[in-house]
Amino acid sequence: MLRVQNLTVGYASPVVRGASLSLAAGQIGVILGRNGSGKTTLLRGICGSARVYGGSVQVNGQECLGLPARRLARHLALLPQRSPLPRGLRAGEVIQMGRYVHGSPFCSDDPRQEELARQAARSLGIEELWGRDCALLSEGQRQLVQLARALAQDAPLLLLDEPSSALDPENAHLLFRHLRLLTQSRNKAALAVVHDPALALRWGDRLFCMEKGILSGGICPAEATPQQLQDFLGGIWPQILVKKDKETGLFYSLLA
Amino acid sequence: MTGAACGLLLVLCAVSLCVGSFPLSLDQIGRILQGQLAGQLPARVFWTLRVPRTAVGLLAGLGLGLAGGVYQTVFRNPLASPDLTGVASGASLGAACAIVLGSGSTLALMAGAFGAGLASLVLVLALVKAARMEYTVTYVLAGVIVSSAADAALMALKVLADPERELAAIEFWTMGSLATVTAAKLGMLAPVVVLPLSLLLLFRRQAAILFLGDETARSLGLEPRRWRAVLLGLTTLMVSALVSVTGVIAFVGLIAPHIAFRLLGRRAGPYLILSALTGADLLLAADLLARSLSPGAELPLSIFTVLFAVPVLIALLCGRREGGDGDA
Repeated sequence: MLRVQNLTVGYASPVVRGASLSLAAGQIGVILGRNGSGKTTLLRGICGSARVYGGSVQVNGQECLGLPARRLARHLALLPQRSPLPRGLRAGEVIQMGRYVHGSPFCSDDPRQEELARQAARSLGIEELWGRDCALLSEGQRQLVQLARALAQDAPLLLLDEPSSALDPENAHLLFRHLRLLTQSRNKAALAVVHDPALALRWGDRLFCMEKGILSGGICPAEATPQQLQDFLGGIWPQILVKKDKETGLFYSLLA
Repeated sequence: MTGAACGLLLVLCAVSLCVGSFPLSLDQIGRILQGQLAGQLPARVFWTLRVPRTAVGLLAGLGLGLAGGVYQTVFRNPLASPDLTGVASGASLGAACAIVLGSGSTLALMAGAFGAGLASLVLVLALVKAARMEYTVTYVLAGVIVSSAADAALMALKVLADPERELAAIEFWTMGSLATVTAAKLGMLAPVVVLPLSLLLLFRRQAAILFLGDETARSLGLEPRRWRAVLLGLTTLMVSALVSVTGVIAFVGLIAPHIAFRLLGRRAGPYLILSALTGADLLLAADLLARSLSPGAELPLSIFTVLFAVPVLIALLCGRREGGDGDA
């Protein structure tokens, strides 16, 4: 599904050098790392918002670097880390913008496109927000609206930059549960930047580590031993302890 | 709401066709339209003065209101207006050059204002390119630089101008008026305004997507740089053409979008259409006052558009203080 090879991206100078990763359809990839390590820059490089110095990004075998925005949007959807929703836009209007690439570029009143956008809102349980002004929503609700907008785009690859940063733990897990359902039922892949090791261990199919612009890892929690995961996460945050629940077999993390 | 603005516009158009130093009744207008008064004074007044004046007022109001709505959406700034990219200042300078340094004829004045307005946009785009940062704030700063330079040159020209004749002409032109509108001017103006106006209304979905910011717009499939250039280019072309005929009309482009936003509570859907209609309502109302309050004389339009703007801006200020207006 997603194949990134030797990607070097940055702004005035390279920030991330030689990043390579791959994700299969149905998988959720998680990038962990300290603040300022280059995680967001990597996502921006994949979606063409940052300056690319070299490398390749393929989605379903299609080279995406250099594609015009309208064609690129059919391959990947981005939920940016900061995407303010100014006063004067209703949640439904924002979610419908996700269908821009599918319908006529000059008509926003297509009932079929609206229904598909509503389905995206319904799947996240936020259809009741449809007619409300985004400026009057809570930060978490706005994040869900933006996620619904990205889902409505119906691209095979979802790039999510800290999608749960404004959500309470329950909604954060619900969001990733929905992502799991979506990726597996509709053959999509998702690559998310998260800061919460618990979310990464619970929902990530492949975990990557970004440190000073160098991407490493690709570890699969389902196949890894507790010690491997401890070494992986401990390399980023030395105080993190990885434990395995004996009853469920799921990993969880503790701050020592 | 859009229907009400349309209804008000129709009433204002009808009154605008009737009111003036040679009043026409609706009955007379009906007979003129049926061709019964052909060649007589009322018909000549109607076809050579009232229709061009009302049509230019309508186009100018629609154009300035729409341009303001597009600017406030694209720049995500509630204080943005067509003056922001230096178009109005550049056009004023061009007109002043035509008055002081040129022949001062109508055609020279229009050409000077239109050319200098477009030159302002070219300068702004060149500055943005030189800065290598195509963000909205870069456009605003470049517009402020070009505006300031044009204003400085305009002040210098005012010093050079003949105080009795040229200076008065410059001052009157920079306050806007429809008094000198003719059918020939309408003929030149209409295509240059109607085409960008129609395209901007067609592109209102793209303007709303730019409202979300460049990164999100690009991820949705919209090339922000290209679309921003298209939208700003069209608005500048339209505003330059309008200003070259009417002079500088203050505040319509700023307050019409605010009134539309107050009425609709949103900056998408019919917002740009309502901004345009509100602009036309404001401008036609101002023109009616400009030609009615002082018998035998024409007052500048900007006196009334500024008066209209004051309560709107106070309402905006109070709304912000109460926390009800947020970033709008």
